[in-house]
Amino acid sequence: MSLLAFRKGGIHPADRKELSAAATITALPAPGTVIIPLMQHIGAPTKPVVKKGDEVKVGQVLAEPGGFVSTVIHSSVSGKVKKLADVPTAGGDRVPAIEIVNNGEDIWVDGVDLDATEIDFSAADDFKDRIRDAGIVGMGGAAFPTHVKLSPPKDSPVDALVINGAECEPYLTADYRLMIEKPREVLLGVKAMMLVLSVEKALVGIEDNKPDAYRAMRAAATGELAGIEIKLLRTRYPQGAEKQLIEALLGRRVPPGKLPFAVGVIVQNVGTCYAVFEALAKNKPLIERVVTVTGRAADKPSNFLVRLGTPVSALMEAAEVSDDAVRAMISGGPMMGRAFRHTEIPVVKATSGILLMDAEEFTARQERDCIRCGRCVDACPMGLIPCDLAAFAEFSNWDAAAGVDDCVECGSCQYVCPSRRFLVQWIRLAKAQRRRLKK
Amino acid sequence: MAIVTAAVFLGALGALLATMLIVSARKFYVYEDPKISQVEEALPGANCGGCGFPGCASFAKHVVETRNADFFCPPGGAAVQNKIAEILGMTAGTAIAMTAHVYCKGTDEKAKSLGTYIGIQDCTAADLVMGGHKVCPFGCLGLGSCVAACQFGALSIVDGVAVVDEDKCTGCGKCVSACPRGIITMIPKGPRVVVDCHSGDKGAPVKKYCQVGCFTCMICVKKCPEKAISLVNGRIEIDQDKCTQCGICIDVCPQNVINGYLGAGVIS
Repeated sequence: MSLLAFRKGGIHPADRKELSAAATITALPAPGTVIIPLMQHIGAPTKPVVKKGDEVKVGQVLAEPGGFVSTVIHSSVSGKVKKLADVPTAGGDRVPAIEIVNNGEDIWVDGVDLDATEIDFSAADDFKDRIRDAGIVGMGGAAFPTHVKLSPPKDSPVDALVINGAECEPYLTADYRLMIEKPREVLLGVKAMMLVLSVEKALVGIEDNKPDAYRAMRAAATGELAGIEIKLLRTRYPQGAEKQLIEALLGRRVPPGKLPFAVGVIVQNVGTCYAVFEALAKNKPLIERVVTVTGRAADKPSNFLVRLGTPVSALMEAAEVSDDAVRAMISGGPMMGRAFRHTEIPVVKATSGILLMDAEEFTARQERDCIRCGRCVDACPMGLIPCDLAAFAEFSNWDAAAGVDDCVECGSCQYVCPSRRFLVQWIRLAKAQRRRLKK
Repeated sequence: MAIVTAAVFLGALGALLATMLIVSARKFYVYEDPKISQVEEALPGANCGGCGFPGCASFAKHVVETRNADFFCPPGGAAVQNKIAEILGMTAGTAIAMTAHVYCKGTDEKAKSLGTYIGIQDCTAADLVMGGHKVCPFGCLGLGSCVAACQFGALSIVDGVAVVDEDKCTGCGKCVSACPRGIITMIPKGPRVVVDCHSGDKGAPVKKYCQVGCFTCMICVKKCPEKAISLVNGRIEIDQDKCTQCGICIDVCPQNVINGYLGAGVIS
């Protein structure tokens, strides 16, 4: 059987998923204090509706959307608002956040039924509003508000929903465990989004290095869920990038600079589907997510169900991370994640993993000169010339580096570079400088 | 015979082309004020852009056309300005020589860093990765983006912090826009007392991450006999017009953030 995959570029990094693949999702106890940033998504910042000293319940709204492309933020614990202050994030910048002291009683807001297992599909008309009110954003890492994605522009009709179960990023197993442990719930979420978009076609793409997840999802796609196609993909990074996934599953190519709407497709992550299920079946807002804590510096690599706002240090402690062994701390996976330096940064809606590398996994090398071998050109799935883009950035030629706008920062080029060029960093620098010049 | 033909032919061709050149030179003659080239010669010729014009030539053109000797060439300083005024037959306006000033003294030894930065040796790039390696979100990253931007060799990195050589600094202002932290500002050259910290944090956090960070304890504000020091937008600022450089604030500052400068050197 020839498996589906995208055609141009791509790499085969060691996936290292064996570290945490067998760890079942375990709920981490809510911490004593949660720090909930008011900016956990792409779009307009949210407006806080609580003030210092307020008593809040689990699932209570802390901040309202600041525009259409924005979302709602809820409290993940019950307790008292300690203060509103700026906190550092994984990206290094500081964002306003609400700090809540947990009273340990775990009192939920009214109307939440944590034991519900079914979605009432007859009420599909207000699904979109409920998804927005539950504060759901893309859980794959980009954190784009889901209700906005479910509102395609009128001039580009959508006929297919693509579900990203590829989890092509090495090390991470959060989506994998979710597909094994909660396949029916994920698919119910898919079904709900199919009704919102009124599409008949939905495909779930899973890479062939996760046969267990494929089998579990296949087994769950029966009865009313039989219409959802579960597809096996040939493992190749970055299969989970939305443009590559659409090409692999449907053979459609999204033009440069365009969104998947342009070819009538919407892509959602399996984590998002599960969040949609929880919002519609249990009426439970997005207040926790699955986070993989892995890497060789962690003695007990795990998949935790974590309350949003939990400091990363609590996760590291639970995964038995030995501080002396840590050489690099990365939020996300090794390919696209961001290095962070404060262990007190909170888990946010987009945190898919915390990777802690030891000296054997992480080797720092100085960059050397480009030898014009062209391997990065072969590896780039977007058809760019990374070596040239980096050279333009190095010599501050921001106009010539226009191609960086199409770069998805998957890191394939840097992975194959024999000179260890910091290609992605140069491209990120060029993107930042181009944004600055446009202003 | 062939030689004669060639000589006549080439001679005639030469005469024809010469006539065309003479005619076109007359016909398309453009008068250019000779003063423009004189002014341009007087300028340093660095094309640094510090004056706000694209280069020395366009600066010279503008000065001569507007007959305004108040336009100032930062690298040239007063000497060049006087010369330009002389060429234009005017008296020079008063201009203050400026210098770049780095508002951070948090050297590797004094400001804490969290981890090592391995990547592009450029401050803007490092700032994008994780806000740089220093704990302080406001301090100098010490990777030398300003050093690279300076055309006069006036900046250098000493112990992880950018330092300005005021003798070499011409005040062109290139380093100001190169710094992602915005801690370089152009200020008048000469004796001055400055709070060498741009931290926006208050109290304990600053004390934790930097030995020379201002945590707005307000002692200097209270002790200043001239009432020249005040808290502006969360930062301590000294009003240079009121300051008499008595040095009391330098002595009372518990973090030694306030420094006195005498032209090119620290006085206390």
